[in-house]
Amino acid sequence: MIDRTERQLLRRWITLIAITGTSVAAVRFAGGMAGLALVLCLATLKTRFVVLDFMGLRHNRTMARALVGWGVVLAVSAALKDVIIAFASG
Amino acid sequence: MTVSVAQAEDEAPDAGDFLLWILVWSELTAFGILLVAFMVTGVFQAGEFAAARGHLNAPLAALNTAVLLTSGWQAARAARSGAPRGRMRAALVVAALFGFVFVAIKLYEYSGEIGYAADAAYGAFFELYFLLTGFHLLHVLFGALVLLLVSWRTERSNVLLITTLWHVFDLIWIVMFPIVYLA
Repeated sequence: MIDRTERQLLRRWITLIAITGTSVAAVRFAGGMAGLALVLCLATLKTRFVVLDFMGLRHNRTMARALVGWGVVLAVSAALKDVIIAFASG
Repeated sequence: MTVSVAQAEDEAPDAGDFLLWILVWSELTAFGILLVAFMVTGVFQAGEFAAARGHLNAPLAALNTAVLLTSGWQAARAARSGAPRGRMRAALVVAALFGFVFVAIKLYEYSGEIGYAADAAYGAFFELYFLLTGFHLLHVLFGALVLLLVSWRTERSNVLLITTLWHVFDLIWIVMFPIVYLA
């Protein structure tokens, strides 16, 4: 079971909602590759918080790293995809 | 390798929950492959994908992200060590309800997008979009129903299993959202 207090979980939820709002703002006001990079970083951060706090895997670093790593690999692939498209279109 | 019978009831999921992690990684592998296929196709149909994205409702999808995170918070509350059964039940029910809200919002979003599905101007975007997000949506719907079932039968092992899977569905959406809607 999860070893976080109610207060800790509430704070983590607030943090996750704030990050989601920041992502929306980043897309709206930054845009382009910089905006996308920021959004992908924020998505990775959210993944980390869900894994460590909501899933309670702070004590199981190997599994935590593997789960966050899954997200990182896909986020990096998405960024790479956009770089390839940018180069291909000249 | 066998699941340890002596596993303490109050422990968070660890490497000893062999079957649980097999299930988790099978889900992540399946969605990972779909997302990679989506991205690879996007490289070869960049113009079509960019045009198609203009018809997606990213703000509504962002709202859905908040809905799923809220559901995840409630699921985590249910899986807390020492949580009284009554509170556990309530948190599971609320988590399930937010799951159904996610499904409702997604279906509403689909109603505005389905009309573009057959348009060749968008390449394979909408086929892959509906496959990817629809597959995830079915997982959320099924997961929400199981959350309700488990709220009725609150053995801690059941709670731990369904809440772990629920967070995995959340992780998948967190990663999927920027890749499908924004990248």
